[in-house]
Amino acid sequence: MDDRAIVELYLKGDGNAATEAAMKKYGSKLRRLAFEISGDRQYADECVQDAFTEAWLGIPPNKPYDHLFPYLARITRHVSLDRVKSEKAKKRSAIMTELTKELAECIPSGESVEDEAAGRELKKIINGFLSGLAEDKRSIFIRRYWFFDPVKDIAKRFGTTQGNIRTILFRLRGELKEHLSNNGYEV
Amino acid sequence: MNAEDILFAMDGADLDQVKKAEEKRPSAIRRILPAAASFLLLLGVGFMVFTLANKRGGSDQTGTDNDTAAGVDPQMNYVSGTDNDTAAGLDPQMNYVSVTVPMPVPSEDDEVSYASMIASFNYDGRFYLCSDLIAWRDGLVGDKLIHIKQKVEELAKLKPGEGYDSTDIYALNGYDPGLVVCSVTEDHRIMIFMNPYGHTLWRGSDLFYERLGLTLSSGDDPIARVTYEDQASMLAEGLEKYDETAVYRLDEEYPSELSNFLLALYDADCLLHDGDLMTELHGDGHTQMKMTFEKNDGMRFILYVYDGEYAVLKGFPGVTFKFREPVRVKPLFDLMKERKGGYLGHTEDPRMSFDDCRNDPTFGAYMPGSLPEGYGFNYASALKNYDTEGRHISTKEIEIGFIKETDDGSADITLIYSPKSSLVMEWGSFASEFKDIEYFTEDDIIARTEGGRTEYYAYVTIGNAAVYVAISDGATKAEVFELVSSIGR
Repeated sequence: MDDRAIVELYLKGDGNAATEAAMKKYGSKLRRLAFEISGDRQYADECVQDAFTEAWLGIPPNKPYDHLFPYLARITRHVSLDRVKSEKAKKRSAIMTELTKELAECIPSGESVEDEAAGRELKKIINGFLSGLAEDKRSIFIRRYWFFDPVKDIAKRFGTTQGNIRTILFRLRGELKEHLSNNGYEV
Repeated sequence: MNAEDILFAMDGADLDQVKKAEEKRPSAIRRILPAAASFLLLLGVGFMVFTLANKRGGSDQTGTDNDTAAGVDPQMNYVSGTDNDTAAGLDPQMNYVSVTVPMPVPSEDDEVSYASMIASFNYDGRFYLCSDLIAWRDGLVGDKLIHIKQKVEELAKLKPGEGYDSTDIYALNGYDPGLVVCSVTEDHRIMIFMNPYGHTLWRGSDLFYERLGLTLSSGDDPIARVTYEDQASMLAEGLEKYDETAVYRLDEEYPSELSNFLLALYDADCLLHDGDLMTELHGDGHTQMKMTFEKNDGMRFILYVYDGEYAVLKGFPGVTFKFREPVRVKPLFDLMKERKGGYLGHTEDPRMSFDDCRNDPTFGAYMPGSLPEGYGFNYASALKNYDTEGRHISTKEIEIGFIKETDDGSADITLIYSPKSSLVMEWGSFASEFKDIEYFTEDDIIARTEGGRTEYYAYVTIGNAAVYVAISDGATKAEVFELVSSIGR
């Protein structure tokens, strides 16, 4: 079933059929994303279930005809990260730890952003950073820090070496640091 | 702020960017090269479909009441980033304008229209047009969807379950039946039908990547072969000058240029069919290429590329794709203009004997069993389909002539053989003029008199073949009947 038909099912109120179709089409990819974040299969399954519930509630008003997978993935990602955070590091995958460490190289540890408005502002700034990147670099950054892909998978996807990907990511983290600094963050 | 906050804040990434990151593929093609069958295409259909889109007013009449009534959103020309999007909590960062291809509009008179010339049918309220005829491939044809009943009618007036012929329609495994389905011809080939109406597209990837699977993925390498021919070759094929046609292969020698082309195609803007634009692009001073993408699953898609700036998918005439970055297309387009790539041989065999014809794998069984008194074999030529290793795998057409010496010169009868499925592909319901040879009588022979001479024509089908008398010069009706009646006996 194509994405538009699935979204139409949501919009018609047939959430069960829509969820079933979306789960069939994207379930495995979403479970993988949740697993990369949580490192726990049971958690991953629960996160994906929660994500589908949220998606059901979110369509309408959202109509992600053209972005069903990114839409579901964003919810899954958010739900998974929230659960990891609430577990206070008890459930945390190796890659989550690895990514946090990578980013900590250029983002010195500080007080977590708890304020919702500040969180929204940070998202906006990050988005601005991504929008300013060349498409290939942006995609590599997103694969690493949005999809939590291992470097070897990114290298395979982009047809290049792991070393090249690591170098690109290192430089991008530096650019991110500068971007944050330019936007008033002390980094 | 800490590193974890950054990971959380990555949620703010535009979904369009996330989608692009999901689509990104390596630039090198992995080569898995099965010996895919090399069938040359029937050139005219794509242009007929263009013509239809124009004549039926389908693509030009957007946002009409008919569209709404058909359950399809009228063309919205919906620009993203509107207040609605923001209010909905989505920030899709669309730099793209969507188009929705309007449904065909029924004419107001009862006249049988041009639409009936193309094999078409209505399945579940959607209108499908024949777009291609491909070789059989195990595993490609899926479940039966519907049996359609024959109805000679213009496209937009066909009701669900009505179509060009009485036949079963099947899903194609791995493809959305809302877009593409198939039937199976008697000679065991797959006739592809596309529904080009009612779809909403934002950019090229919505069709080529998401729904047709034209990707250079490292995972499953769906593309087996990419070939092209230029305008001169297409024209030669149309004029039946087959020795002047030339098809070249791209993927083996130019994977990088091809990869960039596909990525540019994904990013292309979608424009609703514009007759003026297409007329201009087909005019002087413009360069057109026909690219054929053969997939490992046996599917094949044909793309017409104009000046390296526009592209149209055969069978999907309502949308023209405009490359945002022609500079990414130019290297490949320049290669094609120079006829670079692996040359694939042409298909004409002009010197066949009668025995060669009798041994032909496609039509050999349908040669005349006997000849009218005084007639003998004169000549035969064939258009043969070869695979990439040069093996003759099937025959597209045989022309065979018979001659008798007479007091005032000679009498000729010439038969043309082609696959029966080609008739439907080319002529739609008009193929019904052909009669099964079991029911063929002398009364079915058509006489045409001009300049004091009478010529006779006959149209029959037998097994997988359609055979017709192309020329009967000086022959009698009885002789034509005798020759045709002996076909396959």
